[in-house]
Amino acid sequence: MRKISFLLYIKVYCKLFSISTIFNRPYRILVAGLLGGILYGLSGCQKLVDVPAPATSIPQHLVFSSDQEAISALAGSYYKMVNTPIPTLINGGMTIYCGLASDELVLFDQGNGPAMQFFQNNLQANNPIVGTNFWEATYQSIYQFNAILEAVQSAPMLSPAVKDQLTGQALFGRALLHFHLVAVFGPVPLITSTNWRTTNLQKRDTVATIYQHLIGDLKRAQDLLPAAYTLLPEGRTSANKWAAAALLAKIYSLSGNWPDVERECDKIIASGDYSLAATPSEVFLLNSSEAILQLKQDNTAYSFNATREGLTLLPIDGVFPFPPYGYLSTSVLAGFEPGDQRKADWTRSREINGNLLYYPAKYKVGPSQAEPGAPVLEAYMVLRLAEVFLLRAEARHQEGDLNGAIDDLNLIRQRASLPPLRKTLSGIDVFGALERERQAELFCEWGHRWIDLRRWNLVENVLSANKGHSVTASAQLFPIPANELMSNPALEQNKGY
Amino acid sequence: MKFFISIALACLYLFSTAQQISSDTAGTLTGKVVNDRGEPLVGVNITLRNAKGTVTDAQGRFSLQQIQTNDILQVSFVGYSHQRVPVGNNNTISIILRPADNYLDEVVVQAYGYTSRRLGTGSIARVTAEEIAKQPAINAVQVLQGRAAGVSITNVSGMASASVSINIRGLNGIDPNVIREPLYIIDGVPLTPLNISGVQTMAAGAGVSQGAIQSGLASPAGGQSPFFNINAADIESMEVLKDADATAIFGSRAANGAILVTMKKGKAGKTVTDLDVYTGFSKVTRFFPLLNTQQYVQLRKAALQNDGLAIDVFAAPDLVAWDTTRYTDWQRYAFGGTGRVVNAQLSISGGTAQTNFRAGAGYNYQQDIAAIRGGNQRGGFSIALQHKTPRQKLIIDLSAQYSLTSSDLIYNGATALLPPNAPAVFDAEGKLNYSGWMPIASSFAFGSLLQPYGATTSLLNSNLVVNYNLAKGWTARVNLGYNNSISKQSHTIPIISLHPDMNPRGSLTIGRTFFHNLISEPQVEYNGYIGKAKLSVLAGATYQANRTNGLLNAGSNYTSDLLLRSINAAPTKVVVENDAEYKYTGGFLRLSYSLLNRYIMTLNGRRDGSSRFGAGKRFGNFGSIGAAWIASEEDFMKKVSFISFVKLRGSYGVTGSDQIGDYAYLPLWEFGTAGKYGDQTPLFPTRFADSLLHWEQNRKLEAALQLGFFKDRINLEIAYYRNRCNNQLVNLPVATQGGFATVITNAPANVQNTGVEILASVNIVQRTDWQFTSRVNFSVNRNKLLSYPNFDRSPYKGRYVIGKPLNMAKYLHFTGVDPATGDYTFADLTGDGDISIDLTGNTADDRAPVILAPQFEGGVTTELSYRQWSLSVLFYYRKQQGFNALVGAEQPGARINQPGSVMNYWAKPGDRVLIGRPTNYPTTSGNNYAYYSDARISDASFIRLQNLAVHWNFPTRTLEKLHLTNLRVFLQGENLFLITRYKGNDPEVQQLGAMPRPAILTAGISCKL
Repeated sequence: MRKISFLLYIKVYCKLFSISTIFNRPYRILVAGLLGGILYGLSGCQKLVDVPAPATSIPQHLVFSSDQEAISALAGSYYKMVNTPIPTLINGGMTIYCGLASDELVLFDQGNGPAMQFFQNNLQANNPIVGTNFWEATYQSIYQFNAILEAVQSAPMLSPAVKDQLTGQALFGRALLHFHLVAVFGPVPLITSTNWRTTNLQKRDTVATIYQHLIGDLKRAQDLLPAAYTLLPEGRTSANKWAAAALLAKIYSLSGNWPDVERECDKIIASGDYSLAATPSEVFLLNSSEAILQLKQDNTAYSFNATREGLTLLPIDGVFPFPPYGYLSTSVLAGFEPGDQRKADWTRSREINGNLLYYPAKYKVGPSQAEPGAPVLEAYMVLRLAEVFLLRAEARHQEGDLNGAIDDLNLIRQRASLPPLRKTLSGIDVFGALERERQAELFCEWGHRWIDLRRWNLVENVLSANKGHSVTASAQLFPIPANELMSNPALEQNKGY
Repeated sequence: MKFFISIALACLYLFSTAQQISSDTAGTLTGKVVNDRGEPLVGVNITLRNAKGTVTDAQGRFSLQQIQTNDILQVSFVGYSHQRVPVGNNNTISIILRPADNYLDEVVVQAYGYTSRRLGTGSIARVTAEEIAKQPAINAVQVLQGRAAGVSITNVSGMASASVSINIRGLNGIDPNVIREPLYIIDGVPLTPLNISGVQTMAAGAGVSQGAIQSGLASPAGGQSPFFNINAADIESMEVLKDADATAIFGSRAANGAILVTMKKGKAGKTVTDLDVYTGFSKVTRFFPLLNTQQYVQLRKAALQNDGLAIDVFAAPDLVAWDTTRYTDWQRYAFGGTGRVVNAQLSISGGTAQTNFRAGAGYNYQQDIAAIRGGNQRGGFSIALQHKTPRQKLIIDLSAQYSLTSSDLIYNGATALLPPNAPAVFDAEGKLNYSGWMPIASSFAFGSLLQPYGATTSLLNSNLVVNYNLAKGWTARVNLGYNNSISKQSHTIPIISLHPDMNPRGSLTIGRTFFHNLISEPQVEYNGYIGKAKLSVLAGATYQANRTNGLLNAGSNYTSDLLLRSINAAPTKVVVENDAEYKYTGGFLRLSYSLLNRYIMTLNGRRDGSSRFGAGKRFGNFGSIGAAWIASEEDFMKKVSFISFVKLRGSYGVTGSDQIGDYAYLPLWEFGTAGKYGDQTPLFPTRFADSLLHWEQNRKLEAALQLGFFKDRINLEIAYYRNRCNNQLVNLPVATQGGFATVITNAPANVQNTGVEILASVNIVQRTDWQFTSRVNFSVNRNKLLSYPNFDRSPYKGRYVIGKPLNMAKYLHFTGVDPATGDYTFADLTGDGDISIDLTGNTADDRAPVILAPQFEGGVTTELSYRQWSLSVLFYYRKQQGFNALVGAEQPGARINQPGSVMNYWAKPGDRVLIGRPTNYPTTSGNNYAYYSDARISDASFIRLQNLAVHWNFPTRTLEKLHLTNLRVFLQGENLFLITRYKGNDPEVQQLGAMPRPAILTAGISCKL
């Protein structure tokens, strides 16, 4: 239709100006072409301004038009979580900064202002770690999982199996990130969309709302994901059914829903896919038998074959005794019973200025061992069986099954070369044993201690007693970053900031 | 759009029938119009007084009917002097037109054509080859400063190859990070590398592209101007298009104005050879008095004492570990050197009436003052060819320029403000003196001396125009253009340049940029008379495609400097590619209607589309209407003898902008630079995509009065403009909870720039051996944020205020130094008894507004010639407030040098002084808010001798003996002196420690064979 109207225009032109006199024979075609071209341009042709995507990128609709690329998109979201130039919330940040904020780690360089604020439980809203490492990096990863969830819904070319896998994985990933945001900030905006016009002015959701949503997501993820690690075949580096169950159990434990905690833990343990590593020194190795989810770093990227956590917490080797980033507090060290193999395997010490400083060494590859391209021997452990046992022990204790609880604790103790607990312990003693065992097993790991102190409501008392400065109740939530309050007036600051 | 076409067709129909009616036979006059070289002129306007007119055909011929013997022909043609020819008894007549050299009639290039100051309806500033030749700077664009009203030019780093920010008529954009550059067109071909590197240079509150360098490896110069590769000596003229009438035909590309560069062409006639050579040097002439060692030590000790700190190696390593008797003038060390300038140009031109040519070759060398080795070089060729068929039916113009540039630079550390007793740069063995700077070797800023950066860039710019004369008045034309540029950068960090105790490893980074740009513009033009009215119609279309690709190869962890020459040997390699493609298409139409050379109207319309927007948002309509009334042609004005020219003109129109980078509407996933997750190549989403992204709109209004007095000896032009920029393209900060910190979108900001430009040109003396002319321009611009819906919820609420200029900044209001404590005091605007800042002036006390935009600026050019001598002087002036050097980022007493005036500091209670109590603490502590206060602001107005040129031409007798057409020697200078009360080095640089603009002085010889 459009073409006909062009011809019509040209005809009108010719008629009007008796254009035959204008068109000399040899140039007639040229001029007609010229006029045609001009009119074509004038009416505007979409095709003339179509450009392919840049050589370095793929448009989203093409990413999700084949199984292969769609899986790459998911791989990217895992990649981004574990390969970071700085310790982000999800890549070492929970361990390091929650370790400083709780009674685990003492910062060596007290001139390191932003980190010192964590140690002193005196965070400022403009703290760059809270803003960049925690908030920004985490929500950026949430975006990627949301993008996968949205794109998969309208991707007819994907095979149903891959669709289910991607959906399950992305639901899990989104839940994992939100879970840790809640752990440090309390209520946060629950982001389930990639549309910035929707998310830009979104308010903070209550913790209950978020947990309810995450529980729904994780149940669905558990249904969608297989028990095997099939999507990304190497190791246990993507979520499976049991990873979803483990995270679900953690969330249930925070809302005090103990029967559900026990049920989820039972499922994982009953699957028979996991067993406690023989010695503590094997726990954090790649493909460790107790790993439910590990994130594997790219040995050509930021931290090479080291984990970001190991790179930060382990000191530089050398003639000059470089100090560690932080050293273990006396309360952590006191928590190890004599003969605890975990102290031998998971801590190291170094004499600095005449003081013997112990530092966490669950990962062994540090700044002096990290080499570009070197084989990755240890991967970043996100969920492991020992925690599941500890969760089940706590659930059993809560439900009055002290024997069951002691059985689970003894499994952990046995691995640490410690004598088993007697079955005659009282309920209170079992809880005390559980608390000590959690600290000795999970010290400097994903901020477990911080989360425990918070859920047991001990932040004020325990920290004030252990750290030499008074800690207020409001310190148990980190401040919402000042920049976010500026760019989103709908956000409200936590109390005390 | 069809609406546009229909109107055009209707108009054409109307006028063409009118033409037919006016045809008649009786008293026929035929004639021919040629130029002074005998070449026939096509399209010359021939009118009878107050009656019908015609235009000459391809052979310069015309014929008129119903002629009477007392008729007088009015012969006019753009660029030629107007002539009146009495018909008398002639049946045939031959007319010779001479090129106009007067201000009103000289040719001014406009979009897709030519006009003159007399007849144009738009606002166009022009700079000619003669003016460019007077300026020794290597970048031709800099000549616009002071010469083109309303155009402000900022070289982002002061280095010869650096990106240049060009701002026409004020700041349009609310987002200082968005690149806003005029459209640059070289002989019909846009010179616009896409900004793909994501790196940009900040200058004068506006984002500037890294230009020809898009690899992602930032240049120490702050980008590389694409004009660095254009040989200034090949430029015939540069036109700056400012208002809607002049720019609307460029549609979506010209919201920020357009700069048309026309390259020199051949001239028929004797073959002429031009040879120009000059050489000279550059030097910084202004240094700001800083503390000497004795004063520095005294100040430091006072500060440490005030802070209660012991003078030990921890608090004062500079006083304990370093020699406190040593003195180095670091300011002169940093930029006290001498730069060199060399320029050599050779060109040959000539030809016949049918074929002419110009071939040129040029070489420029400019060594930066701060350079350690090498410098900036440019060499290249240019060619222009024109061929006409014998009857001028077909005219082919080809022009091409090829140039190769290289620049050797270093990333200069901030060295001018080092403590005056800082140890030597090199030790006794000639190695970098890291050990001598212990225990604070981290402040050793000279590693970069051994870390060379080099860039070589080639640029080919070519243009072919095929003109075909269809019939009398009708021309078909195709403009084809192509340019491409290839640049290679390398930056080496050898092990010897690093601190030997820190286990140093070498690195090598190589950047490559390739861009090419293709444009095709078919056009049809009609020029003719309908009775008394001249009608010009131009219809055309544009297709433009641009591809830019940048590649960065970074090799690191080298263990030997010998391996550093190749990336192959790098133990760790990273490759980063950036890539973008841009397409643009559109159709345009211009109708010009001129009645009796007195009432002129121009309509521009354009519909165009850009690949930068998504489906449904790609195409936009732009247009303008311009009108002029040349009142001096009216009979009643002719009685006023001293007024020779009066013209009122005005225009209104809409132009657009798509300058926001490519693909912002499209959700993209990119590959990582390296690595895998498991066995998968990871993909990452790149940013928010906004499918609603659309054009930015700039509505421009202009009204102007042009006056000529005493036979145009004095010309005056006063223009008022009002530009309103809406739907602004911004990189909007959003809550990062959405996933990213910013999104490229349209902000509803409406920014208004209004201003007045005054130009005066006076021929004071005009005799054969003695001439004196002067030109003055003055421009004043006022900027404000007109409106922004829901401003309080926008991310800009802290930065801007509705109704206030964008260049407004908010500071604490300084209220003096407390004589009792020596603390700086400030006005407590919040009234909470506490002085606080939030650096946005949103809720805290830093709310005292300061306007940093120039209040007015302009230039005064004076040209004087007497016999063999000629002298040309250009003064550039600007009235503004700016940052003085007295209050620095570091408090007096910190480990950094300070202006000498800080010695008048507060020493004891009761001292009434302007400098507070010295302290060692960094700026973040509460006492040091002076840097965030209006104490930093003071007058930064200046008058600068921008350019001085003295020429002496050899007398004719000598020339004859030497068989030369012309020979002259000259002395030219740039930035020779400054009149200012500014407290600091340079009121344009406004940063103590940064290199002020150097003065350049050159001498040379120019001869014509």
